[in-house]
Amino acid sequence: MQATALMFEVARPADDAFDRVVREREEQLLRIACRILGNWADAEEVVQDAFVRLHRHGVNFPSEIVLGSWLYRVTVNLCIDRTRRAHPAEQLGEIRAPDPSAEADLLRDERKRLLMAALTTLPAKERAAVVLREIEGLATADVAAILGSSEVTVRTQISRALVRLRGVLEKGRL
Amino acid sequence: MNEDQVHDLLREIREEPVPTDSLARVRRNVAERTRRSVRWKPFAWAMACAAIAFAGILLQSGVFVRRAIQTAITARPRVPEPVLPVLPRHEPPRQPVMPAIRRVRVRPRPAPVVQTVSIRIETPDPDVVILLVGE
Repeated sequence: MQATALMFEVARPADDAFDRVVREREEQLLRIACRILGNWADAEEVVQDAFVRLHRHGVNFPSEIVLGSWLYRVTVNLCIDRTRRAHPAEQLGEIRAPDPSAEADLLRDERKRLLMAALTTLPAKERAAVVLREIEGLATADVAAILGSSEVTVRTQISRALVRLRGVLEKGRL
Repeated sequence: MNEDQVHDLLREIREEPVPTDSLARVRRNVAERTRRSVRWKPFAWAMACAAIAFAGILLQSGVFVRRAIQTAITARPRVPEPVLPVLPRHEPPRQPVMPAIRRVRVRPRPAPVVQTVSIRIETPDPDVVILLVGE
């Protein structure tokens, strides 16, 4: 029993560090996962899985940046795996453009909703690149490191995705 | 819609708040799942340490070696071999005697020997000999 108690004592600082990481990162990871997956329920599950993996791995990283990069990579990979298994077209259905007579705010909200829906129709890696670079504002080099591709590829993916998104928004339907 | 407007929309999406109930759910579930994994870890470590220590003690005391020697000595007790009863032999049924088939080997006939007759006539001159040969 003494040995067990000692183990708990040793584990406590690590758990504190882990709790701190969860508190600091959960919001951003949830946002990223939701933008990639298109709904909060799936995003919650993915973020939970990412944190459980972090707990198993341990929070001993050389720096906060490395830790952040590791968490982004795990979360994005989990999201990509999940989008490959899911069928976004079945989940989303058809989203139509708002009524032209609606007010400006409503129109903007509708456009955002349409944009989010259009995001989910992009290929998984393009979607992740857009979310990380354009929505979360990460540097292209960081996005490339997270996705395991080159900066040129990320730039190409983003520009291609933006053209597609613009097309969807101009047409006003998916 | 131009590219700037798309960027503006994306920026607005970034500023949207995360629902608080989602955050709470994630925090609660993560805590539950990690606690579950933490709960058995110290016991597993303690058990592993105890097992290693016990094995070390056994090895040092030579229990394994002594037991192995004893097992080797006592493994095969000498038991007289049981006398098996002699069973009558069952001879296989005899096959009817069949006449042996003689194989006749055809030998090649020797070639006919050609006998030759020779008459040797010596002359007074030792260097001259008359030889008559006939078949």
